[in-house]
Amino acid sequence: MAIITISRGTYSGGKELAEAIAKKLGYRCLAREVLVEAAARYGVPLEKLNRAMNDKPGILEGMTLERAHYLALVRAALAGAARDEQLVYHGHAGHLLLSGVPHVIRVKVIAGMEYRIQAAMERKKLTREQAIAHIKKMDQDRIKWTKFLYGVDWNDMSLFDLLINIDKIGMGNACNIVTMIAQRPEFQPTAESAKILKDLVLATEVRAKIAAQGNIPDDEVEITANDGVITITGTARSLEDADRIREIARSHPGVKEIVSKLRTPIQSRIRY
Amino acid sequence: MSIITISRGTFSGGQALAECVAKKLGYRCLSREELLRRAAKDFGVSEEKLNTALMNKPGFLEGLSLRRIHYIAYVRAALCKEVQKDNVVYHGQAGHLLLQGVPHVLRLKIIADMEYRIKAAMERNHLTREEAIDYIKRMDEERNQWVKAIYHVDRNDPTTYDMVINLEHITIESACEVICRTVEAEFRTTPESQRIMDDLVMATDIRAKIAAARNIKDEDIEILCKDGVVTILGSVSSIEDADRIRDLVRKQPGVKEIASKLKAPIQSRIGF
Repeated sequence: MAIITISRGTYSGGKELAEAIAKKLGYRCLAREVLVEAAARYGVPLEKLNRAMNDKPGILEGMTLERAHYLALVRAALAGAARDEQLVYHGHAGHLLLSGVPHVIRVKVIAGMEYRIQAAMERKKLTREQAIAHIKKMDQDRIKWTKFLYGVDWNDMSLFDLLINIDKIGMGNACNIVTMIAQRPEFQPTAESAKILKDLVLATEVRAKIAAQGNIPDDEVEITANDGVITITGTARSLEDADRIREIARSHPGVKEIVSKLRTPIQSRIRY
Repeated sequence: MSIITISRGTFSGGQALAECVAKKLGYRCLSREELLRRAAKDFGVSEEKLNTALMNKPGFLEGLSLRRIHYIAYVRAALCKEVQKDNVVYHGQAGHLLLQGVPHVLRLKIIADMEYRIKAAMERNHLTREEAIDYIKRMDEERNQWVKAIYHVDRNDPTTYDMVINLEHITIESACEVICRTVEAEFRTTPESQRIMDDLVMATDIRAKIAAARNIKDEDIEILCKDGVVTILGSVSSIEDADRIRDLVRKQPGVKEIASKLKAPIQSRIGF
């Protein structure tokens, strides 16, 4: 009864592993489905969402508001899926999108270069040289992408519970290891972990709704939830924006109370 | 039937895990301290000197001194001998690097829960929380530098391990269970892998004996063994040293043939 997230480099066998684990445990296996759900729920074109999540940032591009918005939508869709059913998620950054939920097992799959080259050659019909170039580029993009969207180092091992070198451990064993851990007592949902997940769902839903407005500069707004009490922190650009954010939060189903610590420019100026 | 190396940080819970695995599998548990004792005895150096050379990071301007290279050769030879007969859990630094190339070695890294480490450091060394955090950070940093200087490998590079387990959420009991299962499934010793181990024992033993012959400048040489054929690689600073090395190798039991690719100064000059 755990939630499993699988992160992987390209051609490291992560997808196969995710599918094998899901089959063995009877969990739902999903990746791109989360984007589809987010697109449908918030009425944005799937294609745009897909590009925001997959394209690496341009050389001069900062974290655009649009990208941040799409990320908020995806996060809400994933949190919702994690609350509703047992799942193995092997899409983008599951370990970060669901961070803080105790019964999530964050797995990362890596593979030796030889394994990856073989896989890339086979799947993409590439020569050896092409495959090497392709993998190197994909790796670099991913490092940049993770740094950019989440501000973390893709190679930081401490972000995962378990890291498996697939060409050494083998697919069958890796599957056994993860399913075994999923059944261990420490990864069974408790009242406390269920509450944390429920809070995360509510917070990400509110956050996504603000993002879905599209026209509120909300890049410095943060939403947390605790038993239906929503706390809004950060800075809004204007009093009007702050009001709109509070209103969206207030009208969201399941919200009992709002604690707003939002600062607006005038207040900020007084403070400093 | 295999060898397990556990790389761990200070106060990481790695030792408890190693003991759990050893007990469950009926393996011998070998600690870094025991290994140093053995190496000190075998090669007639003081345990304390060995410890200092291997624990303290190289000084600001100090390269890898010849003495350090010798000490590492002793420790490596001692470790290979200790694990040659199989069924050992070694916990300490660099086991995965010292036993490189042996197929029946499961190379693990343990990432500790920071809270656990802080508490353990406070308790065992009677430190305040701040002091403990500071101490752990310093130790980690020193070790990183140490491994980098000696093995030219990033200690935090996940691809140098078969599996990394984070003890933040996964309990020691669960980790122990997983390791035992994995070893039984995948890392069993085969006649072929044992031959590789035996070759490594012979190569490291010869290398350590050259190191122990104090009168040879041997910092750039490498010894490889395959089925009794010893290959000597690298360069020495004089033809006399090259002869001394070859003589020493020839006298070793089990050596059938020597393939010397040693470059001495004159040969080097011709070569380029």
